[in-house]
Amino acid sequence: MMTLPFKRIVLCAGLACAAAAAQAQQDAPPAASPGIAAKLLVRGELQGLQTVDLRSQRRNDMLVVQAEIMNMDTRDLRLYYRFRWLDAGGMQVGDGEVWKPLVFLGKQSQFIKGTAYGPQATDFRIEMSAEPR
Amino acid sequence: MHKKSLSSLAVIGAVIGSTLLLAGCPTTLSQPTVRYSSYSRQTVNYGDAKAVETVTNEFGSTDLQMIAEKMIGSLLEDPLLANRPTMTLSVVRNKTSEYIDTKAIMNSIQTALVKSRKVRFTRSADEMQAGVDELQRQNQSGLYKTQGKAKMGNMTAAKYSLEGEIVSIVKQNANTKDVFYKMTLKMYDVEEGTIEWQDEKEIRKTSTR
Repeated sequence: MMTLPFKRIVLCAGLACAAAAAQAQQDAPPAASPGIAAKLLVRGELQGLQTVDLRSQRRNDMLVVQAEIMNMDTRDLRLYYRFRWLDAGGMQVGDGEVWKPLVFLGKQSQFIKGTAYGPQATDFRIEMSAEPR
Repeated sequence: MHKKSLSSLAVIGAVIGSTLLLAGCPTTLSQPTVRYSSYSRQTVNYGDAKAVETVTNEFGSTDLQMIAEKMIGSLLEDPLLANRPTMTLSVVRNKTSEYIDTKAIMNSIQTALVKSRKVRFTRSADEMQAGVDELQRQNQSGLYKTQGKAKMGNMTAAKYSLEGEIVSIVKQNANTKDVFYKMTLKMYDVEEGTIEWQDEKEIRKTSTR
């Protein structure tokens, strides 16, 4: 007789945890600000990954971009990303980069960095896609 | 009279019916491909050349592309390339247990650097014979007029030379295999023999059964 309420409690706790995790994902938009969001091309949901900082500068006449990405979730996640470089006319510079995998442990923050392939690149986008690890 | 009107109605109905039927069914157009056999279970498809490849944990296309991209970015943002120096490719030693075409990595790096117009590449040692042959053909065969002929002794020497190595560490137990690759690339000043730039790319791949 005692086991039935215990099972119910465990079930309720499990459901609450799942709901909380789902809420955490919903609470974490892909970018910390609309300015950062404008530079991201996100495929589907980022599962709780958020770009919290984005900066760019020219080094040796090349556009160099660095983004800090934070895993807001406690689950481990795998991010696939690549930079897309655009010239002043909005045309893509180069053939496009390879997709790069990057594993995030729960609540971990990582930097990603990209360098344009030519001095003609004046703008960029970061294409992102994520899945549970 | 009655029979005639009935038959004309049937014709009109058939025309309308077939039109509706044709409009409702989407027509399947053949694609501009040549396939081995539509009944065979074998399928061949073109994929994304930039996709992450994890078929096995041996050295693959994604590793090659990630190494090349890291080295290209690191070189391009270095101020040594500000004055468009001359550069040549030297050896990249493969110290892994696998067969890796290191020339393919270096060709990717060279392509991006040439397209950036930040570097001028000279012929590497293994490309030199073809250049010498062409110069000799133009100067020693007696077939060409003097105007426009490439002269001997005017080649530009490389200021810098790119060389490096790739190593791997493999650890394996009953159900896990871990492979760690490290590519090191160095840019030497040919005259002085000093390293003017150097970078590394590390890749870890783990597979489990």
